[in-house]
Amino acid sequence: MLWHRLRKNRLAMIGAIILLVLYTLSCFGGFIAPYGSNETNKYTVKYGPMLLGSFTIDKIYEVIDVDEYDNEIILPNYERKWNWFDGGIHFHDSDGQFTLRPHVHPLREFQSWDEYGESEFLLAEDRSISIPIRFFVQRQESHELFSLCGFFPIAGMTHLMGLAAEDLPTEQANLHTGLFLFGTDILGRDLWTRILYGGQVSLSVGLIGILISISIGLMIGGIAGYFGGQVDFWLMRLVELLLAIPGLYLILTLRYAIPDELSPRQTYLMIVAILAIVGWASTGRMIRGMVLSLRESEYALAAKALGGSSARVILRHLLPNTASVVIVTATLYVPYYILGEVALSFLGFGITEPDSSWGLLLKDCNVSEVLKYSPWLITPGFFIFLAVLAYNFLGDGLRDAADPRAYLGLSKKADS
Amino acid sequence: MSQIASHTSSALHSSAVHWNLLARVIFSGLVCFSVPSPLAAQPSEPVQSSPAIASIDAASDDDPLPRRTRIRRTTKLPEPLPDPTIPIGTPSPPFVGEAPDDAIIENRTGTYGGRFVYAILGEVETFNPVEPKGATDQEIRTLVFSGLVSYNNGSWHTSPELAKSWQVSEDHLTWTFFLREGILWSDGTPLTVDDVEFSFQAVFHEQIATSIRDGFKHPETGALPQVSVDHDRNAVIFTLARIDSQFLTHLGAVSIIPKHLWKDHLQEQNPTILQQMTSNSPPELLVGSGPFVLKEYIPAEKIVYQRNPHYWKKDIRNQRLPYIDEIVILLVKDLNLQWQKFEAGELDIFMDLPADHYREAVAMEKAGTADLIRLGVSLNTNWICFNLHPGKNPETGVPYVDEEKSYWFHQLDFRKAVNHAIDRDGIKRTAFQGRATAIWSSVTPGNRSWFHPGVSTYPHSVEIANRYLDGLGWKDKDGDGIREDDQGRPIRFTLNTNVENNLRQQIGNMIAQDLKKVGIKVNFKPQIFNDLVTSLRDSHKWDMILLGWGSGVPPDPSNGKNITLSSGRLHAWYPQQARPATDWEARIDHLMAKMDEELDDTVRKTYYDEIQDLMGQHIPMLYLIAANSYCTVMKDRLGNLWPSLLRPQLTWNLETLWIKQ
Repeated sequence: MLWHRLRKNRLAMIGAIILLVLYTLSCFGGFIAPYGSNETNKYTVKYGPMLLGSFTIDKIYEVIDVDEYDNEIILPNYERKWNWFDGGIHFHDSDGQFTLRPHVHPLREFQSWDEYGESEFLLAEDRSISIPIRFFVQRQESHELFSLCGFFPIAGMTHLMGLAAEDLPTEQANLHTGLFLFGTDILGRDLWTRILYGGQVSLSVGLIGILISISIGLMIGGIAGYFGGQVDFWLMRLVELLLAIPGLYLILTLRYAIPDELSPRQTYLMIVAILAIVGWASTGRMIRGMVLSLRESEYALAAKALGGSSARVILRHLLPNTASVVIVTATLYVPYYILGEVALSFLGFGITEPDSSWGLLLKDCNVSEVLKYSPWLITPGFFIFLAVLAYNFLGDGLRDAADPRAYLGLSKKADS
Repeated sequence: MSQIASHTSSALHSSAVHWNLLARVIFSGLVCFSVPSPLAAQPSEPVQSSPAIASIDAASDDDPLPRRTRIRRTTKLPEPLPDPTIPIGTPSPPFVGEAPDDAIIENRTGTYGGRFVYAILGEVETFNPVEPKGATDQEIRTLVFSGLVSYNNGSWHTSPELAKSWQVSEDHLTWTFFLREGILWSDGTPLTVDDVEFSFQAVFHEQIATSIRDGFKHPETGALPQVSVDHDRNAVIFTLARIDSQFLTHLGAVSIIPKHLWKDHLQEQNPTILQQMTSNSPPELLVGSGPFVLKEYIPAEKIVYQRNPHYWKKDIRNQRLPYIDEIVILLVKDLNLQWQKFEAGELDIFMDLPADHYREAVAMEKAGTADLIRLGVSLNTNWICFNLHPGKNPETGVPYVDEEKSYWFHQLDFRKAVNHAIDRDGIKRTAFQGRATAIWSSVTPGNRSWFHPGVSTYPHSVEIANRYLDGLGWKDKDGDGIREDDQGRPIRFTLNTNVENNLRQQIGNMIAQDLKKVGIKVNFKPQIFNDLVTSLRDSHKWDMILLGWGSGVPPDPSNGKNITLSSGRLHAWYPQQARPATDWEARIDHLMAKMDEELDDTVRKTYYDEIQDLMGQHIPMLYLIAANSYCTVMKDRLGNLWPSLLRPQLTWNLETLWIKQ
């Protein structure tokens, strides 16, 4: 019934499909990504997204310098230009012949000198050569190809796509080729790869977190609602206490208490746990309210009269009836965990280098220069936006589907 | 929280059509990104280019042929020259009385008036000059107070300030400083030798905790110089317990404070002088002899200074200094915020430009709104260091460093291998975007007086690194890509740095990658700075650390005793040794002591060259890289600028700067 009504809600279905795609992408992230999670490359720093265009270079002027023997040497000054939807991924080979196989141009490094004697390295396309993108390409090193939200990894050497080593031009030293669909970051790593690996953390943080906080919420809410009286009173005061503490500061304090010896994966789980510990309070209060009314229902009273223990009544009769509400709440709460992780990592308290998460990737954008000159580094923010929006669509749809009154209201409208 | 959630979702409902549309766009976008479809990536004609790109094209059309210009390298930043044609203007607030006959005459000209605005990172802890706490306090101290001598950041020399001249006895143990006549405090009271004596009594007072005193102490006995006053000659006489080449430097750190206002607070027991002039006190109580007086202080917002009407320096046109009427220092919490304020024109200068904002600064320079000043290689270093502490935690009996790690770190060949394995060029290109220089010792090439080009270098080479590690018999026996030592223990350890510093996180990540290539597994873990300092100083529970030193003023290595001496608190690899742990550390201690007693700087340099050689041979610290140093100034805003590599780069000579309108 719920599923039937949900399917009619197009927004919710779009949300569900987006989430399905995102979770599939992150689970198979290692396989889809052309590179390993932390393959730094000093030559490919901050190159633009090849999906959207390419950088080319223009010589602006020349500067004259003297070498150590007082001979004049002439040094070039270049300016780099971004070409929208020109170059990048293209469909012709080195001879200019059209082909169905996507190609990329190799990247060449230019040293550009300014009149103050300072130089910088600029990376731009060399359009004379085209390198084919191979599918199911074999890499030299073994990488994690599949993992369930960062757990149960399966390693291998086959990647969905990438550049084959034998296709790369060998003879030229200043050619630094790569497949950078979404560009590269400050350390020359492929951003698309980092996003895929980061998704494993960012998307699972919500699921694991909500699992923990709903479990605690169900337990505390169920007990408080069922027993009432003093138990209820004190548990609800505890909930109020938790709600009154400013969440972010509590998180920061708790994060500070995590011992340093933990591995990155453990640290990450601790962060999830911290987020959940702060997050269960309002869920618990909601469950408590529902249980409070449900325990007076006839079936609950009957179960009690038949001699069912308190635990049995709570677990078998009361809590299952809160399921629809719990599912809806859980879906609507996941975005808070995703955004919580973003905030923590952005502040330096969450995931740290060399691991990846969307919040950590977004941290690179906290400098105005990045936004001006390397705007593609915001791409992880787009994925966060997408995931949060999708969860809200889905949760909203689920709530409408689970709410009988809304359904009745709709049918009444349809009747009249 | 549940209320917020439901509210948001109902808002989504009301505009469902709109969101539906948006979701479709996003969704189709996702599909086209994840699979490079032919449609999305077809090489199309460069049609609809954005206006920004179009304007670049137009510019290159105007100027098809490459121009040629000659490189103008900034080798030495020149002293500004006087220009007698500049109008004089009127000072507001005006000066009071006449400048003393003994006034310093600066070789400058300028126009009175104007307001100078800049920002500093952080917050004022105290205005009290007896114990300036943070770097901010240190920096603003010289606005209101002056010392007997001062350090000239532009010429890198100590110059006379309140002291007109000084005599040194034959044995270099008695220093006589002659005070200028006729100098007034900012409240109009005469400044006398008694004030000077009082200031040194305060600094030398046993119960006053001030780091300024440490410099004067005899290294063994802790004896302090004797201070006496000669009223007839208007002189202050210091009798030293030993020859001290750095005496003038230590002297310059002492601000002269007004005895007539503070004398009741220097009690024998429990002096209350440090409780005076904290950041809560009313500004008019802060009486000094510096170029400015405090006008207003709003915590976390700004400090406002105005001209000291009794200031005692003059320019060559016999005009009294300072030129600037008012100085506003904004207190900002964040470098990005500071940059945005500068970019918006709210600040006149931006010092210590971080690499992150270099391109924006160049853009401002090209647009003609600001000048970018290239100062050359900074004196600040970045380094990594292995924990060579052999001790045990006295409470638990557990060694600070695990036994196998300690064994690896103590192998000189291992440290050499690591040094060869680190690709400094990679760090330069990524973290510093090319604007940095590899360094091999604590003195960067930016320090013209102390740089030692002959120090051992360990150029990047995976082969050499592998050869050293193979030579130790540490090979990858189980084929997992990580070497095992001669006892079969895999070589893995942790690298820490502070998480607040993006640059260091990038450097640390690059180092971990480099070491992976030679079969060393580094677990890179950025940490909160305070935790890091605690483990470095007290708990000693770290393996390898990535940090940096900032340079002091003056940039003399004798000021880095707490780092270089084996007993120093910041002797990073094994701090506070009871006695030198190795022969070469003992030799370094010995050379440092000799440097203190040697007055000839060329001889002192040979001593420090030897120290750098020893450090280069034994590499307890692996110096990595020094950034290029830049600062920016609003175009045509300030006159008499004399930029310096030494901090504060532009504001060290505020009394001679003037505002161009």
